[in-house]
Amino acid sequence: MTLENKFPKKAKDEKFILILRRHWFVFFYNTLFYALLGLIPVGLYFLFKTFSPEIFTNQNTRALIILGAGAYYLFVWGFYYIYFVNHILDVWIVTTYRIINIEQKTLFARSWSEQNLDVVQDVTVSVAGFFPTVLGYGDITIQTAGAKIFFIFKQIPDPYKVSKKIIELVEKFKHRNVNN
Amino acid sequence: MIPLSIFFIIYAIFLLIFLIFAFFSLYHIFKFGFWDFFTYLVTFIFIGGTVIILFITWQSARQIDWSQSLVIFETSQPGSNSLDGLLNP
Repeated sequence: MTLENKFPKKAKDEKFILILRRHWFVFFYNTLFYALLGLIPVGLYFLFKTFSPEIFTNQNTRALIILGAGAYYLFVWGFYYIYFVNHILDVWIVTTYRIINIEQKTLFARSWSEQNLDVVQDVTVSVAGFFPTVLGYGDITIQTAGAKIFFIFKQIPDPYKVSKKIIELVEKFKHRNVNN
Repeated sequence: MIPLSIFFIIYAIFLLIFLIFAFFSLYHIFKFGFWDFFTYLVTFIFIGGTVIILFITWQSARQIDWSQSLVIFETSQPGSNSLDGLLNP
């Protein structure tokens, strides 16, 4: 599915300028968390093997361990993929005409909002924390005069550069409207 | 006495819930996602990983005699404790 199919253009001359997702480190950080969750049974295995090895030879406890570990890994794996879906489906798009905010909040909650560039009033960048500062990612809050007052681009790379670009596009859009 | 197969049924219910959530996740990706290499890769790894987890669980579980029962309390034998049933079937 191409971008043009998903977002029918408003005008013939509308172009997609920015297509933004969260910074790769956010995904990496959460992946690390799920990897650590996956290592818990391995740690428990070595712990029990050292202090209580008989539980691995007994058929009853073996049965419980196999099903318990199988269920646990499915649980972690499933939640990791749900996290990935929520991560990858959060997209912020800026075109020459509008801002589009798509957020997959949970597996069963999705929001989509868009505003024309002429209602943009204020663009604020927020970079807070050690990793965002070092790796250069943060939030951009766009205040509008439209029905949805705030658009927040979350944890996006190069927020200062992106905010400049948005302001530039807003100016161009307003200038074009005045001339027309 | 609890039949071991009860735990297998509980696992099967859990598996069913997992499959429902996996289905909805894949549905969202197919319906709303932009298909780039990264999305393909992670989705492929997810499906492959799920198959591997299920295969390993199945391979390990088939060595167990599920017709046996788990004895939790053995009140007839003096001096027995609740772990005896687990450790000495």
